[in-house]
Amino acid sequence: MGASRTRDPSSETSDLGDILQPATRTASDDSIQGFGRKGSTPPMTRLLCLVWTCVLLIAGIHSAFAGGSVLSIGSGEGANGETLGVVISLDNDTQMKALQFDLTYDSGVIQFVSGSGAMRGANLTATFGSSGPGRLRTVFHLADDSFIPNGSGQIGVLEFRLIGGKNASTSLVPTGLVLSDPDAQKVPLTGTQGSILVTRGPAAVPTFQIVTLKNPGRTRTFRGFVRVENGSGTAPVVTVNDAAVVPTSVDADLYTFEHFASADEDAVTIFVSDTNAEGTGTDQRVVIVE
Amino acid sequence: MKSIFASLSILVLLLASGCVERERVFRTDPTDAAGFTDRGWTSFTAGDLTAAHADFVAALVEDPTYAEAHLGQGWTLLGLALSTSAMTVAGSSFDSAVSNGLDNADLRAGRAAALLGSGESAAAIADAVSARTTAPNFVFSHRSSFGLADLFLIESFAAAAEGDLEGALAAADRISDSGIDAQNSSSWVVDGTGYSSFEGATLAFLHKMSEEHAG
Repeated sequence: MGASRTRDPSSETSDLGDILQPATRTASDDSIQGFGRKGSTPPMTRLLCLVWTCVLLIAGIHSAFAGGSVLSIGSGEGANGETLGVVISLDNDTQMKALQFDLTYDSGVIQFVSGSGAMRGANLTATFGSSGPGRLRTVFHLADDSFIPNGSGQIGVLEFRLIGGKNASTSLVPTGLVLSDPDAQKVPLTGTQGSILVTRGPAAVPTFQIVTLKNPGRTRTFRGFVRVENGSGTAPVVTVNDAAVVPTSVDADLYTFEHFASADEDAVTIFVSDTNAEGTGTDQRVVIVE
Repeated sequence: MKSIFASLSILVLLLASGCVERERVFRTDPTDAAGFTDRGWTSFTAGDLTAAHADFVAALVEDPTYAEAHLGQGWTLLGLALSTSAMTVAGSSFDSAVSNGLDNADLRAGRAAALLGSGESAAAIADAVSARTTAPNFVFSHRSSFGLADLFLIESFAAAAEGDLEGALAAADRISDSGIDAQNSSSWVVDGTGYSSFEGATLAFLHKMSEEHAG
């Protein structure tokens, strides 16, 4: 497992330049350099050179479109307060020395905790920084002479604390992707985004908001609404003057019912309750009818 | 003695005759549909819905096509309704008024309230909008406390019943500007109480409008 450290990048430009020393690379190809010299090459040789150049071009174009590496950000879900590990995977068709990307997310839903290399990238050193809320710059690199060979699978993990309410979600979008090979050359890289869903709100018993809307044509008739937070996911138990009513669902956390108060009722007591893993929550409202 | 007896008998007969005449002069029972309907509205305005309903029924016995009596019957049934189905019956009375040639803001407003009570939200909104379009300064002819604000409440509450809280708030804002903005969480405040969601703040405001303006 590689070491993890954090830093505060001051610019949006690549941080890999701080880490890697670009290697001097002098690619030469005699056959191409010789192409086109006047009077020095027989026609048949020139033709062969032309054909060879075409083959190389076609191969290069094919490589550009069919090849390239892919960075995949994993997905997950959990309850508010939990810490979730997001798997970072790389499908690389060239040897890898370093990787950088900016991960954007909704900072109201998750909070970055830590990260490290893992599995194929167990020896990677991880560096993190933030240029603003919901923007995490991540750099994975190998400090020694080693490299990660061609292949696919997990290279690291990022841990986030889930801070959003129930059903809050965020995408995890990688941008500014930079992948370098052992020669410090940039390698084509694309990214696929992940996501995180908060399946349960903060640990607490259910709480309620009880609202009554009177029919203006008969104010002894009202529609009741019960809004539930940290609910069990099913309709709360509702009684009106000790008589059970069956509320209907308006949406996941909002329920409604109708009540017709008789002429001899001066007040109506609405009582609601619901039970989740933390316990039972109750509330009541007295409605004056006239 | 005979003359005295005869005089007393004549006196008794005269008194009896006078009593009968007096009773005939002061009796006010209506004799036609219009009369029963007028008396029905008088009872309605006084809050005696049972008596009002009896008179509107009597008016329709006299003349089943008397639209104003159907209108009165609709309003009294609305006020007496104790179930969703009773609200539907009230709505039918308003429909009968329409089918007998009456269509005004009083009718649309009453039917809107009945439709709200019977759970027909879209139709309730349509009638409430029609009523305030017909009468921009609407006040119900037989209950001055029921006016334009109630039409906006019907629109608002019908939208809320369908889960359209943005639409509900828009209608309620026509009565009194809530200041609530779905996109601005700092505006989710009602009477000094902050809410964690737009939904919660909107419901609190609708409740407040209901308590202050309904009926």
